[in-house]
Amino acid sequence: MITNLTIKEIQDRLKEKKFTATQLTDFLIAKIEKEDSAINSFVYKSFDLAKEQAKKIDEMIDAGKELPPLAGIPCGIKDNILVDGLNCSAGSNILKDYVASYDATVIKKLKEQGAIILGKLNLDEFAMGSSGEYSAFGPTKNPKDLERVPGGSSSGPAAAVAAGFCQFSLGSDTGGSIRQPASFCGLVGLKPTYGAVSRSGLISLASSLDQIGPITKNIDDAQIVYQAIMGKDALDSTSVDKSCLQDFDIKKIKIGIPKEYFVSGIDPEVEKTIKATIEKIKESGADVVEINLPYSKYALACYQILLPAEASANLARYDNIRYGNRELHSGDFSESLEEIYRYARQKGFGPEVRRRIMLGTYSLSAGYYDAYYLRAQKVRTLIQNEFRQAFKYVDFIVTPTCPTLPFKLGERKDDPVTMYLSDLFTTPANIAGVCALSLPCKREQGLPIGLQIIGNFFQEDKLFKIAKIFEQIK
Amino acid sequence: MITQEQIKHIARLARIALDQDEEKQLSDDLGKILDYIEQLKQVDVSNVNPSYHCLEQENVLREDIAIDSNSREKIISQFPNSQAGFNKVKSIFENNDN
Repeated sequence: MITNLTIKEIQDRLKEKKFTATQLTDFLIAKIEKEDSAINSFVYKSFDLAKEQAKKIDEMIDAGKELPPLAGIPCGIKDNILVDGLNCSAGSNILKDYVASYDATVIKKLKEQGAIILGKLNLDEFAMGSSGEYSAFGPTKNPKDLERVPGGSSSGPAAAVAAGFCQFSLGSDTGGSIRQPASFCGLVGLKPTYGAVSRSGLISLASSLDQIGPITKNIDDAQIVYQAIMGKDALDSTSVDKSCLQDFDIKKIKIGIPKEYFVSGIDPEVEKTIKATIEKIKESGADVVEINLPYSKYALACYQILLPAEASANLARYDNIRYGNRELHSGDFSESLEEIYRYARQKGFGPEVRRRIMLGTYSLSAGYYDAYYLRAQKVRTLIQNEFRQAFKYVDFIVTPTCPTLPFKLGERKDDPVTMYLSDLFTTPANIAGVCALSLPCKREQGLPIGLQIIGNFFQEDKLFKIAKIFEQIK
Repeated sequence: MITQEQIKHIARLARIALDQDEEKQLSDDLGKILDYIEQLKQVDVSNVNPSYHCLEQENVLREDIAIDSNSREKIISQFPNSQAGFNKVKSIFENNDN
């Protein structure tokens, strides 16, 4: 089955002419057309673009040209990342008719690498959500169990890879939106260090936290995609060129287990599986120690202030005047301009987005800034310092990715506070800015459970190496 | 606690119209979320500097050089309401005859 191959294995077969990029693309297009109606992972399909890209790769192969690492590899893109000429909805009704006028930097890089773009993938509206249920285009189902959510907000990117519709996808992670769906769908998901990957062309949610990263079936693929998209970009002034290539010996590696992550609220099955995995890690020769991250328990509350505040500012631009949704544009000029804005934003945004804009507007409003936003920024400093301290003693921090198993559709949709608890273990890495990856635990049966490995700033390469060792543990 | 009056005020600041049911729902939801956030008050933040993101970065400067984006037509085609290549919007200046 093509869908079980790695990126490298696909390329080897393309080079050996076992199949062509066009055949591979046509196979996946047929699969998506047949199977995605049950999953709803695609918002827009770009099959014409994909076929055109595949044809170019086949011509390169026929001409005996050297192939870049992603040439001929089919992928899907979260629908909050701009692809020139394709719709970009961010899962929102307010951007229903928006067509991107340029490529995000990561897309430019994927295209240069010869990746084949099959389409734009579903997400919680403006990447706000942990289940995929807050999309204006309907919920995405978890391919491992269609009654359950695939996680969010990168619901489509995780579901599309898990369903075998594409080899990898790009998601965005502001508080766990790559790692949590990767965990729920039994995949690998990487949130790079803040600044490692350009955010130019990503629809902003919370600018101090957002990062783009890959969702893949294995660590090797994640590393290849990460290396293709990372690096400093003149269009994102927060991007930097930093990496640490270093070899290491597992026997010299120290792994910290923060005891604060194994307290109340964690599902017993998740706890048991993670603890069993940690035992196996010990057996592999790594030094595993218990550590304290006392401020991490405040990360989620801190996030609940920072995210809505920054989102309310970022989403202020959606007034439906310059682009957006033609149906929402009443054209009724009897109303005041303000009424026109208010109407478009009421009808264009879903309830969760309105809730977060309202919360953010409140916390930034006169008289509340010091009590909320400023205090949260100070707590952020404490959380960052705590991680910097911890990484003086340990090389990696290992935790569960999510406190629960994939939950059922509808189970948490109307209860925002319970929904937010899904992000409990993933938000600290965003607040601190460090890199983190979710890796599926080996299980005989049952729903997928992800192991989160948190690495120090810009130590993605080291993170891939340890994750690769863990991946091979039986 | 956030009163419905406060919700009305915030909604105006956020430029979002709300119907009455939504005002009530939001006052409940925001109240619950703010209760959760309350725990930050337990943290001693005296003598702690705020951080705005995680990078220790200086200002990033570049030369101010115009580049051709070739995207004028693409951008105009997005206007929900346009006329002769212009974006048509409600007039924002009041007609003041006195």
